Amino acid sequence: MTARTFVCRCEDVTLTEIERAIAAGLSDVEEIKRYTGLGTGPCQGKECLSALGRLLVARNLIAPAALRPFTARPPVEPVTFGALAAGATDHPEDPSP
Amino acid sequence: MSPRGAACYRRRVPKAPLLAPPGPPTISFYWDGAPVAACPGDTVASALIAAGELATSRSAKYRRLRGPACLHGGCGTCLVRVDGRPNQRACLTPVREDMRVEPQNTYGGLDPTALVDQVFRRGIDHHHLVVYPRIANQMMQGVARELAGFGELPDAPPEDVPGVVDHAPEVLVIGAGRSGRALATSLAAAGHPPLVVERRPAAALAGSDLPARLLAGVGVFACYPQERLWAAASEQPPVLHRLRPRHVVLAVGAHEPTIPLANNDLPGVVSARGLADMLEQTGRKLSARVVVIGEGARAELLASTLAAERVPPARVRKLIGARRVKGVQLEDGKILRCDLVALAPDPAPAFELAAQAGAPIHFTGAGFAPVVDADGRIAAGPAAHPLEAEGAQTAPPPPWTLWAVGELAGATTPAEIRGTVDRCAAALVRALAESPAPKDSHDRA
Ligand code: FES
Repeated sequence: MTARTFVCRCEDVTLTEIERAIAAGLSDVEEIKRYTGLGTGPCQGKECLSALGRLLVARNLIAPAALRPFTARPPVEPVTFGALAAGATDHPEDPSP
Repeated sequence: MSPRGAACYRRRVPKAPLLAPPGPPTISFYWDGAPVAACPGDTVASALIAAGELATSRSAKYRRLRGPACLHGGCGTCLVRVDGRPNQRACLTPVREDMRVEPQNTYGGLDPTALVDQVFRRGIDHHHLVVYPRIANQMMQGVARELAGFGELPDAPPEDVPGVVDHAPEVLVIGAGRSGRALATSLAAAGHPPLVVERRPAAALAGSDLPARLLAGVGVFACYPQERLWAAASEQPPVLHRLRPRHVVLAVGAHEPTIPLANNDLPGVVSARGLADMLEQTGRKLSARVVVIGEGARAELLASTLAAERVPPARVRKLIGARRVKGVQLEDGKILRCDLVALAPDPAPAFELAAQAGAPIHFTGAGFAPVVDADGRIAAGPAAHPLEAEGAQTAPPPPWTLWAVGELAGATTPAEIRGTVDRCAAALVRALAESPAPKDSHDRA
């Protein structure tokens, strides 16, 4: 097994990949997410977002006050399409037959 | 190719048990075709870890073995197929007699895709790797498409049609952990029993202080301020809950972020907090050797709860093991042998729902959190529609007051958690007295 240090296990983003993104001139959470895919897996950043934030602050790449999380869009918990669809059934404008 | 467990898993030798049961196991279920003994109160994850079965899937890119890690529903690497339904969180799924649990995203014990980890030793840089020549790129895309994804579709369409339930509680408490329960108890004593919604199943909520009005196994997945709505759902039975509360208290706790260390993804690397909570809920005792990695008072406390040796992250060179963690190699070359590594990072507040509700968010040094006042009140501004230009915020202010308690409000020790609960309860009772519920509002729960 290759020794790898993971920052985001969902999308297999390693510290080396974060360093590559930093070397490419990126320094904030949103940019690094878009470059590496960090935070885009099933946990949606619950495990990696703050780890990345701490790393950027520790390396003086960004001031803590300037640090913003990426947008926490719904759903923050897994939900089935069935459950979501159930909420639409009583909409009168629902065009389904 | 089927990304499911294959028969080669089935001839496995039984592994040394890692967690001792609280009594004789009375439940048996199937893990990849082989029977596993479990106790009432176990989740699939606790039973599998107890049996020494630590790997449940392979990772998306490097195809490394992965297993339950946070033990708290937050990390998504314990996803398994249960009775033909994909993507069930092993750590939140109570065991049932004869249930069939299968790994996902793996092709059996000798999975040929595991070679990816060997071949791309220096990493996969998807910005440059095999982009040219185009023919090689197309071949690689073809293989990658087959590998991608989380599980396969369910065996059959669901039998039950999902239901919808509407609730208009006076107070909604999200989370039935320590702070959520304590707050519910205080509010009930003051004559305002809240509706408490908790994503963990009722079976995983041991304790005598369960709130009277509790929806367990129901995850609040969104706040839609423009719709004046909080949305929650359970998968079994499939029900969508639409919540329109007058006051909302977020008692959602914190996430356990990863600690960047070499091989921090090995099966058997778990959250110390998750492990301690799992032992408390299941009544199981550790028979495994555990090393805690972390710094500070909280890590110290968790290490003593787990009766484990603790090392600070800076002293760790790497975690060792191949199919599961076998030990911790320190910077001085010394190796601490163990069966489980328990990570004790500084917790990162679960800020996501607060952010959706319009709370201002700041970086605390450990993670992101909503800005709260001394009582835990969050001043959430009017919610801008995402498609509206900034400054053109026509939306009215949200129809609820918003609060945070416990770890979300910055508390870490039990005493601090209690403090946030007491201050919030007192302020909330005052707010309830100042604006009693309108006559036409009643709970439809
Ligand atoms: S989500 Fe189950 S172990 Fe993390």
